[in-house]
Amino acid sequence: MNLVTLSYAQYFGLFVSLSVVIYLLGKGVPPIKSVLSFLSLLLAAYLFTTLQSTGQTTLLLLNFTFGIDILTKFFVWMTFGIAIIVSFVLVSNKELSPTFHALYLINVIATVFIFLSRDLISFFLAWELMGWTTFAMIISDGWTDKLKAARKYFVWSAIGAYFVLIGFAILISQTGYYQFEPILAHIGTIPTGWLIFAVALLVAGFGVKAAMMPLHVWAPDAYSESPHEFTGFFSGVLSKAGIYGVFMAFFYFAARFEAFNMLRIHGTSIFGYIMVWIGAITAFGAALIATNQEYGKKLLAWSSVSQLGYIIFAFGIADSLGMTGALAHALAHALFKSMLFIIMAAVIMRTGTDHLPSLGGLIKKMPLSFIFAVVGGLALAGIPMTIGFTSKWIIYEAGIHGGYIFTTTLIFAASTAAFLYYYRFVYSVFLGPLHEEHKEVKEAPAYYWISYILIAIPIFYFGLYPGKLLAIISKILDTYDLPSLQTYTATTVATPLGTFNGLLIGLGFGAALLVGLILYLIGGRTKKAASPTDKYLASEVVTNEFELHYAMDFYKFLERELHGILKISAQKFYEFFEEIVRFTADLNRKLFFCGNGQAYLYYLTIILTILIFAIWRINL
Amino acid sequence: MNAIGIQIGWIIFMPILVIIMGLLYLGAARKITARVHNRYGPPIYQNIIDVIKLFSKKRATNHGVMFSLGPIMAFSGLLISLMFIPIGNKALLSFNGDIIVLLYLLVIAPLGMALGVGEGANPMGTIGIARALTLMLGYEVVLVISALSVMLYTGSASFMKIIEAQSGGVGHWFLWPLFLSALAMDMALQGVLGEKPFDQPIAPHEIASGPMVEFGGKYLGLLQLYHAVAIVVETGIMVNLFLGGGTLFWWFVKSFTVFFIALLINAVMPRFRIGQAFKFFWTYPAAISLLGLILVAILK
Repeated sequence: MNLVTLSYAQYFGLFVSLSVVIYLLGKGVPPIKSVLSFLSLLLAAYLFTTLQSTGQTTLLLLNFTFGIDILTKFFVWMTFGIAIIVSFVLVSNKELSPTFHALYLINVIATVFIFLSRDLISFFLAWELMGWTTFAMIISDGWTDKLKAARKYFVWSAIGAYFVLIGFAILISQTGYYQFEPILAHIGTIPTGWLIFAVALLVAGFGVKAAMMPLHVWAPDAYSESPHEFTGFFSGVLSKAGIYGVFMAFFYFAARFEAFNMLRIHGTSIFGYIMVWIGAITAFGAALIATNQEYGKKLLAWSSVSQLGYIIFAFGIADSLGMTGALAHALAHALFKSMLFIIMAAVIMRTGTDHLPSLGGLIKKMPLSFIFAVVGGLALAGIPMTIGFTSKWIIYEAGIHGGYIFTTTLIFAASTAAFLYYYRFVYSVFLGPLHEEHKEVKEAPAYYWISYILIAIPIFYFGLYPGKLLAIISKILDTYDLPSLQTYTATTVATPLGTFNGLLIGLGFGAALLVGLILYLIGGRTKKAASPTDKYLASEVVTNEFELHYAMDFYKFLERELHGILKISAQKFYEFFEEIVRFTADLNRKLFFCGNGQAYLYYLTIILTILIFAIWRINL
Repeated sequence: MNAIGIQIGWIIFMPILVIIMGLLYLGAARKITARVHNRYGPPIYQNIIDVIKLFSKKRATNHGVMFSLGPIMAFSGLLISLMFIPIGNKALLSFNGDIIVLLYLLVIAPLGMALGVGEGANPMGTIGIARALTLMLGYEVVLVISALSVMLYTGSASFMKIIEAQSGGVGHWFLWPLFLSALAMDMALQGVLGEKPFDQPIAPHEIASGPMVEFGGKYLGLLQLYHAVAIVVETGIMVNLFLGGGTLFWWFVKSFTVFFIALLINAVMPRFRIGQAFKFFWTYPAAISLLGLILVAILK
C-alpha cells in the first residue's frame, strides 16, 4: 500500500520546488545542500515506484501524456542508480555551489521525464530542460575557463534540438497528433519520403547527444570540462538519453513501417546499415584518438565516444542480437564509465590534476581506488566475468552473424585500442613511481568507497549471470514487438554462433587464481625492494633525479604511424565551415551595412517598391 | 558420474601436460635456434631445470602487492584460457565458450602482467608494455579477420564445430580452401608469439628484456610457465582453426610444426622498429586476410 499517490505533474512540481528549497537553504546553511539533494534523489526514486503506469496532465490547452513501461523502468533505474551513486560523491566536495546542487536535481528529474513522456511536446520540453541544466552546471563554478567547452556543448545541443524539433514537427503535421500512440496508429499514412526524412532528422538530433561521429565534437570538451564529480553522470547517463531517443525514433516509429524496411542490406534497413558504419567508425576513430590523450578526463571522454559507437553499431544491426547487445552495452557503459570518472574525480580531488605525466604511483596511497580502477578497466576492456564482456560478446556475435565483416573488424580493433588507452590511464595514474609532491596524498574519502562498491556489484553480477540482464532486455523487446533473444539461462547465453557461460568462467578463473597463488607460495619468500630507486637500469646507478615515469608520449611510435588517420578531424571541418560563414557574413556586412544613412534609405526605397509592386500584382 | 570424473581428471591433467610440453617447446626452440646459428645449444630439457631453479631461489625482490599479483594473474589467466581451447579433441570447458571468449580470456594474462610491470616502475618495463600493446593492436586485427573468415565459412564460432567440419583427413583441413586466411594468421602468429622480427616488447639489446626486467626468482618462474602455456595455446588456435585439430599426439605435432616455422623465421630475422612492425601488420597481412575474408564472403 502506498503512502502517497502523486500525479506526474505533482511529481515534477515537487522536485522542481525542492530544488528551489535546496538553492535557498544552501545559501543560508551551506552544509545542508548536499545532504538535501541526496535525500531528494532518494525520495524521487521512492516516489517513482508509486507513480501510476499512465497519467495525463492538461496545461495551456496541451494534453501531456506520461507512462511507465519496462523500457522506461530500465532507463529510469539506470538514471536514478547512477545519480544517487554520484550524489554520494558530490557530498564530499564542499566547494560546489547550492546552484549546482539545485540544478543537479532538476537535471536528474528532467532526464527521468524524457523516459516517462509519451507525447512529443513533453518529450521535447524535458529534453531541452536537461540540455539547459547541463549547460548551466558546466559553467556553474566559473564562467571564464569553462566557457569554450560550455558554448560548444550549447551550440551543438541547440543544433540537435532543432533537428529533433523539425522531425517532431513533420510527425505532428503529417499525422495530426502529438501523442505517441495515435502517431503510431497513423504512421502508415505518412508518405514514405516524409517519414524517412523525419527519422533521419531525429536520429541525427539524438545522435548529437549520443556523440555519434561526426556530431561528437562537443563531447570530449564538455565531458572533460564539466565538474569532476558530475562527469560520471554526464557521460554515463545523459548520453543514454540520446541512445533512448535513437531507439524510439528507429524502432518505436520507423521499424514498423513497411516501406521503411523495403530497401535492405544485410538484413537491416538502409538506415540501419548507415548506422552500422557510423557506429563502427565512431568506435574505432575515437578509440585511436583516446590512446593519444595526455589528460585523464579527456582520455576517458574519448573512450565514452568510442563506447557509444558500439551501441550505435549494434542498434544498426537491428536483429535480436544487435538490439540486445545495444541495450546491454548501454547499461554496461553507464556503470563502468561512471566508475572510472568517479575515480578520476577522487584523484583530482587529492592531487589537483588529471595531467597524466604529473601523476603516478598512487597505488601506494590510494589502493582502494586502484582496485576499482582495475574493476572498471576489466569491464571497459570487456574481460569475461564482467558486464562489459556480456554486452560486447553479444555485439560481436551480432556483427559476425549478420555478415558485417568490415565493421565488425573495426569494432574488434576499437576494443584492442581500448586496452591501449586503458593501460595508459591506469599506469600513468596509479602505477609507476610516486612523485615527490604526492607523498602526503590520502585515500579517497569513504563516500567514494560506497559508490565504488555500489557500481562494482552489478558489474560482476551481470557478468557472472548474463541471463539475468538478458531476461530484462528480452522483456523490453517483447513489449515493443521486436525480435528478442530467447536462448539463455541464468548463466549461459547462446547465439546461433556460439555460447558462453559466465559463472563457469568465473569459477574457473577463481580456481586458476588459486593454483597460481599456491605456486607463488611454494616459491619461497620475497624481499621488499630497499628503495624506489632499487632498480635495474642497464648498469646505470639510479638516483632520485632519474625521471622513471614513462608517461609522456606513451604511444608516440603509434601516433607517428597513425598520423594520417589522426589528422582527419571533424573539428577542423567545422572550423572551415565557420570560416566560410564568417567570410560571407563579413562580405555581406561590408557590402550592404556600410553605416551610410543614405545607402540604408536607398535599400528601404527599393524594398518598398518591390513590396508595392508585389501587392499590386497580387491584387490584380 | 564416471564421465564427469574423467572430465575432471583431464581438467587437472591437461595443464600439467601443457606446461611440460610448453617448456620442452622452449627448450627445443633454444636448441633449434642454436643449430641454425651453428652453435651447439643447451639440452632440450634446459627450461624445466630453469623453472625449478627459479622457484627454489631463496628470495625474490618485490615492489608491492600488484607487482606480486601480476605474474600470478598472468599465469592464472592462461590456465583459464587453456580450458577454453580444445586440445587433441578434448573439450575441457570449451563446449561452454567460443573463439571470441578465448580471444578475450587470452587478454587477462597480458593485462595482469602489464599491471605488475607497472608497479615495478621501471621505465624499460613500461616501454616494453607500451610496445607490446601497440604490437597487439597490429596483429589482433589480422588475427580477428582470419578467425572471422573461418567463422563465416562454417557459420559457427564454436571450436568443436569448426574441428568437426574439418574431420576426415588432410584434404578437409581449412588450410586449403582458406589458404589466404591461414597465411595471414600465421604472419600474425609471429607477432603473437613475440618471435623476430616482432620481438620489440622484449628487445634485450634495447630495453633489457622489457617487461621482465624487474622480475626475478619465482616471479620469473611464473612468467616462464606463463610463456610456456602461451606458446601452446597460441599455436593451438592455428591448429584448431586451419589444421583440423586431431588426436592428442597429432595435435602436439601440428602445434610444434607451427611453432617450428615461427622459430626458423626468428632465427634468421633482425628486429623491426615498433612503428614498422605495426605498419607491417596493418598493410600486408591485413590485406591478405581481408582478401581471404572477401573470397569467403563471395564464395559462401
